Amino acid sequence: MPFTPYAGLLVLHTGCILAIFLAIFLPGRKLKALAAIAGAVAIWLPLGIQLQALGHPNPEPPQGDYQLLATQPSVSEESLYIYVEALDKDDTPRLYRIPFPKITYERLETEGNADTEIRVIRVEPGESTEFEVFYISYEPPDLIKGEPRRGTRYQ
Amino acid sequence: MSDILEFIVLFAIHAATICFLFAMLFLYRPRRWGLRLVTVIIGVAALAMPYVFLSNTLGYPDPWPPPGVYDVLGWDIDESRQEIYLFVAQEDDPTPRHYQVPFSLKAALTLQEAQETLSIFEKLSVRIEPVATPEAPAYQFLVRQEGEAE
Repeated sequence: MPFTPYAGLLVLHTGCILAIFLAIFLPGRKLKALAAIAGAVAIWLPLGIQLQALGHPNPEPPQGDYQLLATQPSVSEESLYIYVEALDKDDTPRLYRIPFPKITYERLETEGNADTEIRVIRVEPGESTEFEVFYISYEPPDLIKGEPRRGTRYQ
Repeated sequence: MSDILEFIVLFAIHAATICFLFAMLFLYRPRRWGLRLVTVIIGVAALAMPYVFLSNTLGYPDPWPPPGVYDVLGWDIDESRQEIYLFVAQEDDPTPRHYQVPFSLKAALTLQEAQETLSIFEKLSVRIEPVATPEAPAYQFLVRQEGEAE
């Protein structure tokens, strides 16, 4: 994976906190002055990390049902980028990165195209890889009738 | 809890952990083992806080996309929030990005038309301009032939 700016800020934040630790447990006035500067920097770093992380894919998608808007496989990174919209919470689209075994990609190509109206995937913790993707045949609930959501899982 | 409130609470917790470490630095030398243990625990919490921020932020759209030309891989139009969300990639960067641009009817119609008429030899791109003015929007969609330079 390429080195991203937010990863650099994370390293800087870790360095600042470790500098404060050293100053607390070791004697030395210069060390304390250095720790004061490190603390002043570290207190603002989460803001910078958050701003830099916007727009980047999330490698740990939360468990849930998503409407699939688009996908982009990356063979070199062994990843599949999925552009999704959560069905049960904030409907702002998200960009997630999930492991990309070839068999999963083939399932995306075949079963994914079989659905004509809507494609829904479920991301669940798996055994062999960190996450596994299942296609479910999703039928939108009829909210007027108060119907529960239904789905069939394909493995 | 709204995202903004959650962010404020997390940021306050992070600031509190840094302040505690400052207090240990200047007010009291932690000779007692119990206080040392608390200092280490709070220090580890301060180290972990940015990762909590990251898990909440990664994947969300960036409302300040850097200027450039991007291939559009997917999109979502939200008229209620007056936003267009774009799933884009650049040729020299294997990692796609998620950007957010202001809604415009012209852009939405362009996307709708592209969805219906785009052939397999064409691709949709978006050019993000460095400066937005009322006359010139901050972005422009382009339909390009496969392999054609901008």
